[in-house]
Amino acid sequence: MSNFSLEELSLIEWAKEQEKILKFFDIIDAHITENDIQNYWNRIRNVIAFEDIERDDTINDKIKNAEIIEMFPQKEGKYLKTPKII
Amino acid sequence: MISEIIEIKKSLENEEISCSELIDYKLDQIEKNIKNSTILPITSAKEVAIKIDEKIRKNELLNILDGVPFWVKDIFLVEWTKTTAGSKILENYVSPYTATVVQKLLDSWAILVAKENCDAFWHGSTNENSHYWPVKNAHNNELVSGWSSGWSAVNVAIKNTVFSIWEDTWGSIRQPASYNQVVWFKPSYGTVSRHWAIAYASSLDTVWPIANTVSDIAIVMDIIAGKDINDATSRAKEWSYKEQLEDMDRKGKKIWYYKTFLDEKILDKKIFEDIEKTIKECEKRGAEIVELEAFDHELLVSTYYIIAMAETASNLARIDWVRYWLSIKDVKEIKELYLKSRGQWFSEETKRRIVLWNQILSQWYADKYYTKARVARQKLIEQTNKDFEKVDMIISPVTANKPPKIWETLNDPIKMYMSDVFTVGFSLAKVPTIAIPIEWYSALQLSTAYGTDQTNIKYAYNMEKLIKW
Repeated sequence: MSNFSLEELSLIEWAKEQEKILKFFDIIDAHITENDIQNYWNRIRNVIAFEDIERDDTINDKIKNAEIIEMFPQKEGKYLKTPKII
Repeated sequence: MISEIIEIKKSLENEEISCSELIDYKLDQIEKNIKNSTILPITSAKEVAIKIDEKIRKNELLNILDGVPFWVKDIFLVEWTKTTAGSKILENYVSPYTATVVQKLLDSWAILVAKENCDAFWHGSTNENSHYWPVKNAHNNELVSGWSSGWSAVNVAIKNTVFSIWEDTWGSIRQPASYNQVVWFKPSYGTVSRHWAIAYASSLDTVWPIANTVSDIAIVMDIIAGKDINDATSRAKEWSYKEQLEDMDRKGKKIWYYKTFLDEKILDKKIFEDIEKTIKECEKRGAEIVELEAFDHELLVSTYYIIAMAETASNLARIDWVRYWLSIKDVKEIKELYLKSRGQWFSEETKRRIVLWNQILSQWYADKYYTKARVARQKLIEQTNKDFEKVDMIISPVTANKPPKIWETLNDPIKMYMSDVFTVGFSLAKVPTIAIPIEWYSALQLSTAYGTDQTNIKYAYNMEKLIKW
């Protein structure tokens, strides 16, 4: 468990109004029981089959990095001048 | 068929206006109203217009979107342009990639004219949280334009653009429809690819168009919908949206409205009367009206916020100085770098969400609340699927009241969050939903079963004609 409770975090100056948001947790707690979690557990788990996993295509970073520096768009008058037609 | 896209195609083919003149006109409009775009307009729009004019001179046949100007929300990556997501922290980020949805439109020779401002990382309900400036309502500049997509609504409403492409998580496309009188369509989750769109809440994000008519929405959906190998959640398009627009017989259709949503005590008088009148008109034309209780309002909003905020806090973890070229000086250690970049350049609303909602993802809170919220969502999905076995469509309002004045709601996040009650349920259930304007700030939300996006647009097309009673 983390060092800070929601109540403590809510006391941070700009987060004070978030104390009201704690109401959301009470509502969820009141509506969903431990029994519900057991009944729905299999349906809410995200399971990916091994055969669904594909190898990522990778690109040569050096080429892309050089392209990024070379192609960086410049402001031209009132427009953004892109290096290619999009 | 009332369609601005078809009107433009006819005007270009008949040489009443050249594509270059059209684009110059749109660029002039942007210049007059620059605060509706985050970044500078794109020069290559003019070069594409010249190519379209050459096509016309050679009497080549024009495709449906040839030369049609469009804008995109500034969360879609477009190669070699800035993508800021309305934030300070991404102010100088230039993308080397183009989002699939934008590429599909560019491949159809639609012309990208500019990118639109939004609430920073679209955190907010009123478009007042942008790093750049708040967006004013198209009909009254003292009022807000709507949720984070209000910019698009205003641009379409005042005809800066023919259509816009945005991303919706909880209803940000539908509320501005009523506030600014334009048509918005949130497809089923997965209908349009989210590849290279900056993520908010990945299990809720949907990409969609905004236009002035349902016909234009159908034309754009025909181009952008479909399977993308780069987005595992995307689905194949089965048939044409535009061809589905033929007249529909309302007789025998079962229309369900939520009794608790149509309450005089909750709704503004005009909104209540407009929705009630629409339901009666449908009944007169042979539709069977079914009245049912809605899913618990408070549970809907709580479920949405716990899931969406936990996901957005997780997605925001990747946004830091190191990857996005923000200039931070005098930094001695990595912790200081993070504090200076994320601490200084995230908006108050974004920081609020990161701090509070990352806590939800910690082990104890995840078990106690996040898992429960996911169970609540699964219950809602199963309940909604069962409901759509009994009825053809659900009619509901989009928002309860007229748009608030600018800055009026920022100090009361709960009030802001509770304004989402009419739209979050459909987003959680992943079903297609469209908003059709009735009058200013009053709009009809029409939802159908998951995966029936074409049917939804067909019903909306006919409902649009009915509303113009």
